[in-house]
Amino acid sequence: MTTGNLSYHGNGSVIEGPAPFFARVESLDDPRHYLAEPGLRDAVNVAITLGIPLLVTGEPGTGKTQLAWSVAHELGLGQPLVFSAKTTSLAQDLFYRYDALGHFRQSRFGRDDQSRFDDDVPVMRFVDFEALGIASLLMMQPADADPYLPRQYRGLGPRRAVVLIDEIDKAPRDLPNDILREIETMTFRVKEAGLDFPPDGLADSRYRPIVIITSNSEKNLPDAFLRRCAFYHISFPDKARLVEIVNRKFGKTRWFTPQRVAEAVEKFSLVRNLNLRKPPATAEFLAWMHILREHDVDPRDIGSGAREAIAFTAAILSKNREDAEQIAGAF
Amino acid sequence: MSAPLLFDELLDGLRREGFSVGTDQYLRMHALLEGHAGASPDQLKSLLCPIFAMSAAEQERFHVAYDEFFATRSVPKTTFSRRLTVIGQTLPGMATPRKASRWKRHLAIVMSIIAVIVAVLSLWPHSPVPAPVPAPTPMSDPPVPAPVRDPPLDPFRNPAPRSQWLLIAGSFAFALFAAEVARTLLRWLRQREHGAQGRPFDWPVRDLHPTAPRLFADQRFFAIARLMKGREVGEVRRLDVPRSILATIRALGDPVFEYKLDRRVTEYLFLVERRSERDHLAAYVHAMVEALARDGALVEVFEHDGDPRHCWKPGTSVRVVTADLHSRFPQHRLVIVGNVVALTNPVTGEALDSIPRHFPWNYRALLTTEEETRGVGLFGAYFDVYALANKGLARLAERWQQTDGPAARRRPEERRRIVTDLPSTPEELERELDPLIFRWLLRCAVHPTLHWDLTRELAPPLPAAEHEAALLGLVRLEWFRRGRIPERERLALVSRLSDDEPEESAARASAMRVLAAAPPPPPGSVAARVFEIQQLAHKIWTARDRPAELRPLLRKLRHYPPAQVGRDGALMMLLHEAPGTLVTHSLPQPLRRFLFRDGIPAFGMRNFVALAAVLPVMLFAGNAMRPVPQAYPQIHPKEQITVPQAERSKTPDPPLTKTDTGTTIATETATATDPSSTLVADRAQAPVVTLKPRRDPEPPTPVPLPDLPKLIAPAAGSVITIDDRKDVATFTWEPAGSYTLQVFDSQGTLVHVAKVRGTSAAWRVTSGSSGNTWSLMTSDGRVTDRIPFDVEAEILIPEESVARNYRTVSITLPVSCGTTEGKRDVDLQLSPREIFESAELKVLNSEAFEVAELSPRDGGSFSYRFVAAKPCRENTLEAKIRVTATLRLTLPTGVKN
Repeated sequence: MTTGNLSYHGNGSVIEGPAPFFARVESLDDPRHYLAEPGLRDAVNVAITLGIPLLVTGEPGTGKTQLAWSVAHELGLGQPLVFSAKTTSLAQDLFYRYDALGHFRQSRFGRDDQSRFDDDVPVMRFVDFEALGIASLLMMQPADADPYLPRQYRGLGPRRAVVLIDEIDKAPRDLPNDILREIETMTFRVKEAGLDFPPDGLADSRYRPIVIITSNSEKNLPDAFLRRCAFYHISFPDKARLVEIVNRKFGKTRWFTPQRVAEAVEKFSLVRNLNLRKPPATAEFLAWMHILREHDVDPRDIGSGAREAIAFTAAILSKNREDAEQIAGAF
Repeated sequence: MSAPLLFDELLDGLRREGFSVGTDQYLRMHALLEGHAGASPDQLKSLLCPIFAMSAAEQERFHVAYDEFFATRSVPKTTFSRRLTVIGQTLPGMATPRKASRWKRHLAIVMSIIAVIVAVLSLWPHSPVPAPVPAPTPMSDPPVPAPVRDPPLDPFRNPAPRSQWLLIAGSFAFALFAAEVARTLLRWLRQREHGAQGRPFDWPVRDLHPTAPRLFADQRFFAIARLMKGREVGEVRRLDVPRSILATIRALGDPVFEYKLDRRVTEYLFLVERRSERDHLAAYVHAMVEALARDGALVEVFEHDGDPRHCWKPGTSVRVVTADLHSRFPQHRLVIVGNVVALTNPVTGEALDSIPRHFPWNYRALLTTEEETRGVGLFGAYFDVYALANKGLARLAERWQQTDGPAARRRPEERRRIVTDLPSTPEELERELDPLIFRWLLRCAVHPTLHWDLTRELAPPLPAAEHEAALLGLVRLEWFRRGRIPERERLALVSRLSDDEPEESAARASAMRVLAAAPPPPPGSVAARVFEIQQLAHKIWTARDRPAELRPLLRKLRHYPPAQVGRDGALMMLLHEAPGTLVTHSLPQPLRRFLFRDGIPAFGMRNFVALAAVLPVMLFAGNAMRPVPQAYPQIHPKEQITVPQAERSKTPDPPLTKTDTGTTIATETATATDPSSTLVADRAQAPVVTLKPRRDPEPPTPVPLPDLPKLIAPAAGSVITIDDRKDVATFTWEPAGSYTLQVFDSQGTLVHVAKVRGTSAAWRVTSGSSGNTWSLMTSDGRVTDRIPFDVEAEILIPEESVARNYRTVSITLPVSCGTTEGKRDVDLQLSPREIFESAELKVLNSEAFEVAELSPRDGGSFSYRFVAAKPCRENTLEAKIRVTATLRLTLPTGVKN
């Protein structure tokens, strides 16, 4: 067995030539290779048909976030609009952010820079629209929306957009409750400017955005919020589906022979059955497969005491020391 | 008349399952069906599920409920068109449940009858063989007429040969056997039709239309909820624009930025102790949490099994380390509910110093089920301790509301170990419980298992203000934590309740109402059968004084397996006392016990069949024991037998007795010893037949049982001192004999057993202990009273002593119906001398799982992974695991114990 292209040997030796570039595996993130299970596919269709947000839960690494890219790709809607919830997020942040300090600074000191600012500084200049705000503006005709839209979205409307609100359970409990009405009507108000978006009569409901919300189920979400969403829980795929995912993500190359893939799936299932504190999910599995291929480690050799292979496996599939020891002990 | 809504039954079923089904969902479903007219049921399932499910568990439950809905209606899995699903029409193809075919039953009956007829005809003697007729005794005077050979057999005079009796009895027994086979076959077919062999095995009784007073619906609780949902100061500082502007104006335009601390909603993390699936105290707390959530308080709930260092999310079985929850809920306020003895040092009885490390939240509270003063004394340094009740929760909410920072803990005033001292026997309960609570307890005993909704419905009439306090007093009882009253105690309680007929009638009426309205278990499950038996049991109890109503119920009860009926001990008691037929009362007790075990006819036999089975057996046995009679000659009415005159003169004529048949027989033996003597026997007048006198067998003399041996030493309360030279305890008794010596430790565990002879025996003692007892068991199984004694030991340990496999721990692990995995610590309660070596794990009910894997880990913990064999409902599956631990005693060499 060979451990292949090691860049760092950890023994003080210097490699010949330049440092290796980072080789991004495009296929792993390519929405064309995303494989939604039938239930998830139907749930997306339900959300699109009914015009309600789709709340997706599941273990980390099961493809919740990538679903948005897949939907946007298949519907030809370009890149999804992403909002990553944080523990300090407010409901307003989903639609826009107001730069109060910047506004203050410019109103106070802008006179000295006559070339850039006038006395009358419009408030909207200090308003940055976020994912749901942009999606709402895209429901309007370009003539009405473009003055407010960021440059890259001008001229695109009216059209539907895919909005991803990632890990909403990280946000404070107030956030879901504060957006109940907005998420139904897809309208909001910039209170600093006293403007409503979209203004009455200017939005075409046919272009209602497709909202995908992900959650790791760390906290319970309010019932009132849940009732306004379609729900789907992505369960961990079975072995046959894992094989299918590998084939789609990596293609049927010389390295990914059916025997190797089947053996890798078996080994991975063994690891998942170890009752780890943090069981690896599909994303870790794909990363592991990628590393095995890069270092030309045959999954069938892992069980025969190959130290490097076991080290790769434990490093990628575990997230803490106990789990790493368990994985190493299992092989 | 309003038309039924589309999928009305499915939606009703989902509501019963706890789904939130409102107008929104119905309209969405309608919109979806409009757009997916040609969808198959399988496609519709995944389309409808996102509308109704709001969590992963609900998603799984929806799939189960949906599949059951279609399975029970036999809807073909082909595409069904829009035409079939229009509003106002039931779905074609959703026929009534298919009736099982009866041809098998009819065939079994016919075959059984034919078999019986064939057997009887083949065994019945077609031409009775007459007894051989001996040659007539020559007579001198008068001449003897020729004997007549054609009179029928008279069983009194010439009984049938034994072979005929055997044939008759055999054919009768065969017929009975065939009948029983037929009955067993029919019962098997019937059970197969019901198919009651699958999961779930247990099913909660839920009351959809409760009449009990609502809990947590008073102003006092609303005030608590208001306090608890108040906002608290957060840790994020945000720019306060209005205040910044004002401050800047005050500073004459000099920019001044004012910040404010973010205020956030107060969130709570409850860790609720759950000892069993039907733990009423846990149900009480969940009801409290739901009431808080209804009022807007944000509460996350996890459950623990008495050790809050590990917990799990309700409805799942994946355990997590509670400290790990801190990263997910860092700003929550922790409330632990239950008796947390596990947080005490088992040796010192004091609270563990590591509590802050296990529960790193700023706000920590303990709602204890024990006395508050004890809890404060023990855990006051680490928790805000209050009693579990509205009052305690209110005091906790007030305390936390008044302080912005973590409260200063109350210092312990006393350090005492919390013990479970709740009474457990009915007598103690009656003495110690409030009469109202005891009355409630009696009413709860009418049902074999305890269910939260049912318990609430069985409440006696009492003021609403007292309801909650009484309920809390009731659910603290250990039985209600375990979800079951032990049958022995339940029998006592039911007997007590039977004295008050109106009270019992009211309780049973409540129970029957709830059971009738409760969502039934899935058909084809063990739980469904148990559910039916329980309903039937209530009807039997109600009709127990009305035989006419009781008999059909008992007949119905016989359709169920006796093993399942026998789980209800109170019902068994009733069946023993139930009015039966004459047979059940007239049979000898051992036979009655055999044929009517637990009041149920053995093998499902009906009473008359049992009688019919007993009679031929008794006849056959009697015939077999009866001595074979002599082949008596057939005597013609005119036939004369010559008896020697001399003998006749010696022997007086026997007195004649008139029998029932009108035949006169001699009751004393006429012995014809001299062939020359003759006796004229004229049947028309008084035929004389020689019969041997029937002597009743003497009743066996009862053998008196020997007295139990008298235990002499060690005497009660004595102390045996052992040391290096003398490490033997000597037991003496009298009189001499063969006995089994039994020695028990303080826990009542049998630690030594030996067959002994004579009047003394020795037992090598290895260590000192107190509270031991000993007794002798005689060969007939009688046991003497146990004599307590203590052992004081001062033994030099010559070498390391090792004991292995002397303790077994059985645990029950709640398992969800999909894949369940996690880690579990087994509390081996090691003594300081014991060191854990290894453990052997075995799943006792592995047949319930497709995958049942156990992996021992260090320190008595193990990893597990279960995959249920079949889909089932949540919380209905348990893995029974036996842990055999190998422990090692580490007594160092050369020291004295």
